[in-house]
Amino acid sequence: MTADDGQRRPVALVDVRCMFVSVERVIDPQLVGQPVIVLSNNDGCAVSRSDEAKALGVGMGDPWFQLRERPNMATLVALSSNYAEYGAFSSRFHTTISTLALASETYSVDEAFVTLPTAEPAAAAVAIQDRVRQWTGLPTAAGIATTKTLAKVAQRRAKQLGDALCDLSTWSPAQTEELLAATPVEDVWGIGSRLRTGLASLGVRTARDLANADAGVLRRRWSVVLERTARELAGVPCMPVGFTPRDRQQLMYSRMLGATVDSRAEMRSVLAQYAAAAARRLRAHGLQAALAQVWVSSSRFRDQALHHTTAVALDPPTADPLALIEATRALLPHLREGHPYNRAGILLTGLSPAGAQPTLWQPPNPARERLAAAVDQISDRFGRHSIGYGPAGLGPRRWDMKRERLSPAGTTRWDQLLTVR
Amino acid sequence: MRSNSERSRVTVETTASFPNPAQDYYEGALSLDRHLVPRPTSTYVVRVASEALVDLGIHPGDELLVDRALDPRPGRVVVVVVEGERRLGRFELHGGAPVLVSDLGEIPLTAAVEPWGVATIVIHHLPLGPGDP
Repeated sequence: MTADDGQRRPVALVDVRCMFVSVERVIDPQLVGQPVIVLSNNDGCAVSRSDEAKALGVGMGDPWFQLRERPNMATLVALSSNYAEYGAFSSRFHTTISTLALASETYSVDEAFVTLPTAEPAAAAVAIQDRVRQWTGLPTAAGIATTKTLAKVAQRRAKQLGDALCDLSTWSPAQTEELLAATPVEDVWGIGSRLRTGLASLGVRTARDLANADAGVLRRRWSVVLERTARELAGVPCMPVGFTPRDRQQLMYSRMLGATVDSRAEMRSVLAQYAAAAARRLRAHGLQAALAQVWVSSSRFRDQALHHTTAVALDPPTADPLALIEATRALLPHLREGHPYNRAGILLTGLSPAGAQPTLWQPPNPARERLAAAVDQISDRFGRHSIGYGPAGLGPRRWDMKRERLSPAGTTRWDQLLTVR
Repeated sequence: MRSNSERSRVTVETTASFPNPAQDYYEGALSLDRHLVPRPTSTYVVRVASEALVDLGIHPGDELLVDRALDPRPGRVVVVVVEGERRLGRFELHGGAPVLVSDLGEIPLTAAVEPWGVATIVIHHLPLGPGDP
């Protein structure tokens, strides 16, 4: 095997420890060592927890309105989600890794797969982790192995032990097998609880069982994706860094409203804003949609909960915000005037690369594409509330997401910069 | 709060009769980003909130570019975290021991002090006088 045989190079999964809390601690160093959690949309429940908060007994997804009543939570600091900052730090995290890694792949906001050199992979991973720490202030945990799926198992192990690194490339086959036997199959990358029952019927309960399962059976009963996962657990690389098996099938933009909306006129503005946001994501991925499903609903904790939904075909497929805004209007006649709706959403399906299906009758409209791009640029440069499409209006709006415990946009806005004394 | 928007735009025009003599040489407008921020990934902008380094021309309200990729070294202006607060000062060695020195006093740089970055550029907005802007 040659040194430049990329398939055989060790792979690392580098993951930011409790990403959102860690970003908050860079913004405000007072939070270091304190029990800190970050709350979901509308300050709902805990989505990121510091070790100190876990030690206090805060569970993932615990609702804030319950936590704040508990007497032992007096010292707990809860913060609203500061998405602009998490996004900015995520981008710094991935770019920093790319300055040292042979190859890297953005797996999620806070996770990256990295190809390591064959000689001294652990030293290379530590160098990457040190640079991430120095350049961004973010602590990481990493797992090293021969495949991405095993690297994920290793990283999970490092996290459990509170270690910065777990390097399976130095483990004996027997030790690795022992670790796999102690890993429930639903914790393996790409498995999840959905497949657990089916796999259990084959006697597959742990990662080791899956590694030893018959690849042909896995492929026939489930998919080639599951077969690949099993092979990767057995140490055979099937998914090189940079290769992501899944295609985007749908794009959803759904939010709980910060305040209930009970008029059609206001809901029209909500849906227009959601449609514009969904269109923006579509364009960011270079996609267009053929079908838009739009819905609004009221709280299920209320009597007479209502849910209205409608589907609108987009012909030709489009990513044009104006076309999507128009599509959302089809739902408005269904609404009951005066009813307190608290959630709205839009689901786009039938996705294809933009321009993939040229249509005979309606050529793409370059002016509309330029308009959408110009609106994106203006809102990037002057802020999200600087421009909006007609019915969406200019914010802030009454029904915007509730974020009462928001930290400053310390690295993304001139008027909220981090300070130094 | 000052606006960070562009106030004017430099254009290079060409006409049929007088071709712009610079057109083969023009390599794009000067970019402050490229000039001041060689490493955007590790560079942060922070606002000065004290008179710690007025002697060096760093005033309250100024913006500092801080590069976290650089290591603190004697002679550099550095940002450190002391007791949960970002502090600014000159990195000096006193009898071999590193110290953060500013008009607010001296802070010995022990293990309890975390380095945050090295200040590379100060942006000081000058008053524009009557009729501002």
